[in-house]
Amino acid sequence: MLFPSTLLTPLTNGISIDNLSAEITSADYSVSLGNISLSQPINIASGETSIINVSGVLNQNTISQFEAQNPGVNGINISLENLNADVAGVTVHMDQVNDVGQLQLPG
Amino acid sequence: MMGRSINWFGLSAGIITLIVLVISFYVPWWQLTIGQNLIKVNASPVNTNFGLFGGAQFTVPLIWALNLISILTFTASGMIMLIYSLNPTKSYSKHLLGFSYKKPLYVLISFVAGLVVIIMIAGFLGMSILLMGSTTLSLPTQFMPSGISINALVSGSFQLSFYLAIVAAALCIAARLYHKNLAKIPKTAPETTASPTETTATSVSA
Repeated sequence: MLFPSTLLTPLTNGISIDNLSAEITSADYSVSLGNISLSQPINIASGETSIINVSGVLNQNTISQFEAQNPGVNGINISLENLNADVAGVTVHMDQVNDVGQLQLPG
Repeated sequence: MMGRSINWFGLSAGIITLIVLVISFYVPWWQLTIGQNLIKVNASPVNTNFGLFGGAQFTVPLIWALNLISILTFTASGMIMLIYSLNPTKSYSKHLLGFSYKKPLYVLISFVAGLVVIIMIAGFLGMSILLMGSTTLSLPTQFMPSGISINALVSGSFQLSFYLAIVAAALCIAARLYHKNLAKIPKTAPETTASPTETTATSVSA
């Protein structure tokens, strides 16, 4: 599964993203849904736009259980936990990033 | 015939001091790199600036003023050392030497002391930075929002211009020591006068 994100760097110099990983959880129920990570390190040149392909693995059992418990719901509000990013040699760890978006369910 | 006396150590010191001054505009004495050139601190008594994201550079007015003082100090020291070196036996030479030989050493010591103090303050705040070598810097948790931690690879290193400044300071001291030898030379060398041989011409008249 791919989660493409567009990132424009306004910097005068290129920037590299060597690592990006996080655990996806349901924002409403705090249930682990899977995890995402960067497929390969990327280098964004100065002033350029790059699409970051983040590949993820979702726990299908949990999602099926969610769908069964919440019939008619189109998506799950997700948060990220244990987000680790290595940007230009600086490692950032965030315990939790709330409400980053909605995971659309195959309806 | 006596050659002109020159303090060669002083001459070298003066030239290298001026070279250090010029090089220091382009090459910092000490460089701190955070991340992969994400943040760079280029420190020298002549030109200290901060580079962000490998591009934009800025300086702080107070540091700029201190740099200006160092530029004037280095320029005066180098020029006066050169003037002294070419005239080391003049009556005013000792004053020129006294003014010029200490300045590069003072600047060097002040610079290193300033670095050590800054690194000690950083250490006191919980950030470990090395003068030479690489380490992982962790931003203190008290400065960070809860649940966020930031670590960065930090490397510090002295550059060529710093070592050249050490050479300049050492040569300045050598010039001061060598001046004692020059001072022993009489200011006016006695002229070697050959004893006049008087020849008397006698005319013989036949």
